[in-house]
Amino acid sequence: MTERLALEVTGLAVSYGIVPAVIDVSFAIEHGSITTIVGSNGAGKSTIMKALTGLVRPAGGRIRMFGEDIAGAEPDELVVRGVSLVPEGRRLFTTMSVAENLEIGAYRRSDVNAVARDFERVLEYFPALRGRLQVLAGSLSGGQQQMLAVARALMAAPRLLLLDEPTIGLGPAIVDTIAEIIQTIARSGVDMLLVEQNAEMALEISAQAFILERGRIIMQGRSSTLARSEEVRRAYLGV
Amino acid sequence: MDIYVQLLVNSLQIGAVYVLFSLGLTLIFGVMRIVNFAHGEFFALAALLVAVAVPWLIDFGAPLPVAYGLAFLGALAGVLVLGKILYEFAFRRFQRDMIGSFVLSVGLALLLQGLYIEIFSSASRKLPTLIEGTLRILGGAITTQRLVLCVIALLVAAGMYWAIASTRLGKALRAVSEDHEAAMLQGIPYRRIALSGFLIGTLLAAVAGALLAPVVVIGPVIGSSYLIKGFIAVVIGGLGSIPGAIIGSILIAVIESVGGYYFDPSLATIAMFVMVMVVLLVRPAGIMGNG
Ligand SMILES: Nc1ncnc2c1ncn2[C@@H]1O[C@H](COP(=O)(O)OP(=O)(O)OP(=O)(O)O)[C@@H](O)[C@H]1O
Ligand SMILES: [Mg+2]
Repeated sequence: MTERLALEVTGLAVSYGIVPAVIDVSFAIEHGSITTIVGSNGAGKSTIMKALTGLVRPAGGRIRMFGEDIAGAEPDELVVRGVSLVPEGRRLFTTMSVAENLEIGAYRRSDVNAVARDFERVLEYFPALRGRLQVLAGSLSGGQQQMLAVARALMAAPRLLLLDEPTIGLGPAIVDTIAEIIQTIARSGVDMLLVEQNAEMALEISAQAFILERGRIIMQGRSSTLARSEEVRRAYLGV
Repeated sequence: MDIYVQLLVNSLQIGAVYVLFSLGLTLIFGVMRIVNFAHGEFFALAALLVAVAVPWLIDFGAPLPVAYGLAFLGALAGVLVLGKILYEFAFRRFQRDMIGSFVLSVGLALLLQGLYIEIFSSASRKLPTLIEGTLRILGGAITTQRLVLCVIALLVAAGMYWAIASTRLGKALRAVSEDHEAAMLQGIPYRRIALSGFLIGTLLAAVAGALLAPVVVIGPVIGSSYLIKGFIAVVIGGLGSIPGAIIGSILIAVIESVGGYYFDPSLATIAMFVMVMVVLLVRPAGIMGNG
């Protein structure tokens, strides 16, 4: 068993109709690390996330999670196997309370005590949510909504956490908070794949990075190395 | 004074049934994104089954309450079986397909009406009164039987409302209604929840039909008028919204009883359509709809 790898993607291809969105993408995530995929608007980042969570069926390639092929698995089944996604645009249940959103995050868990412990734990990560548990998720501020989206995903007790642009549209202070929490979660033993358009934070907190352009991976390496590359700096760091 | 009480009582008894009917319609829309234009036929089948079973059971010597009780349960079971079959062979394949499900459910409604006429004949049926007597409340009058049925309908609706608000299944149904992909990403098994939502909605229509059986004249095509009213109620309230379905149903019931009293029934119907226009102009997603 290649249990050293949390995720192994080989030759992934996804199309919408006849339009290819992801072409021959291969990458792997090692245990105990944060990996990032950086790419601009429409590069195919979210499509990769959807393929990893069963929301779209790949046209080709193979995805192995914790050593097992996930071909044909339904999204809800993959949650049980240990993958959670913080989706692009948060996708909270806005007409439900904050507490209910967290409860739904643990939908498939039956160990009541463990769920209660995780409930406390995510509120420690995001104290701002504690006073707002009975409020409708839709009435939270943007930053709090993003915190809730991460907290909800954690309620499933994932082994692999996928984050699709978790800091988009947020102010610098909240970006810092979320970056810190992501690192804390990673240290607690959850493997992570972080997808970002804005590469600055992503390259700072991740160990390895892949650069995606028009559906293909065009560069890969250690994040610290890529962050120094002229090409990456010009295209993704705005310098 | 008396007349207002009477109109209120009338609105309440019509509204209680509309609430059950449209709760089912809105629930099914929420989980599957289809407007089930055959929803009225589940309602009709329940009423027809009760109408056939009660005299039959009485012939076998069953006392009236027993005959009603058995007929009621049998009718619900029969409708659930039909619902499950139609779900597996038809509705399941057209979820989240507005046009496909429209064609499917309108076709099914016509097909079922045809079958009902064949099976049950087009005769109108009137059942024996289950509970005798009339009650006077603050100058308004209501037959005891209607009052009991109305209270049962309201209790079922309240129980349903509580279940959707508070139980695990209820929360899953709401989550799927708001965003089915996000729900799946939390581990909610979408297919199973869609089936549950569909069957619960169908059961609510059956309860409405079975409850109404003792107090109305039953024919094979009674489903259509309830479908139209229920659909209007749901559109006014906001497709997919549970509180919206309740508010919409009450509005429709008030227009029907008040309009029917002061003017005439056809004018009341026109008033309903005018209200749909006004609501959709001011709030295109309905009173409680979001987006
Ligand atoms: N449901 C869809 N149907 C058709 N085309 C789609 C669909 N979703 C995405 N695409 C197309 O696939 C390509 C990749 O989209 P994707 O959402 O994966 O990009 P992204 O990298 O996540 O972009 P962003 O940073 O804007 O979120 C784009 O060209 C997009 O227009
Ligand atoms: Mg995206």
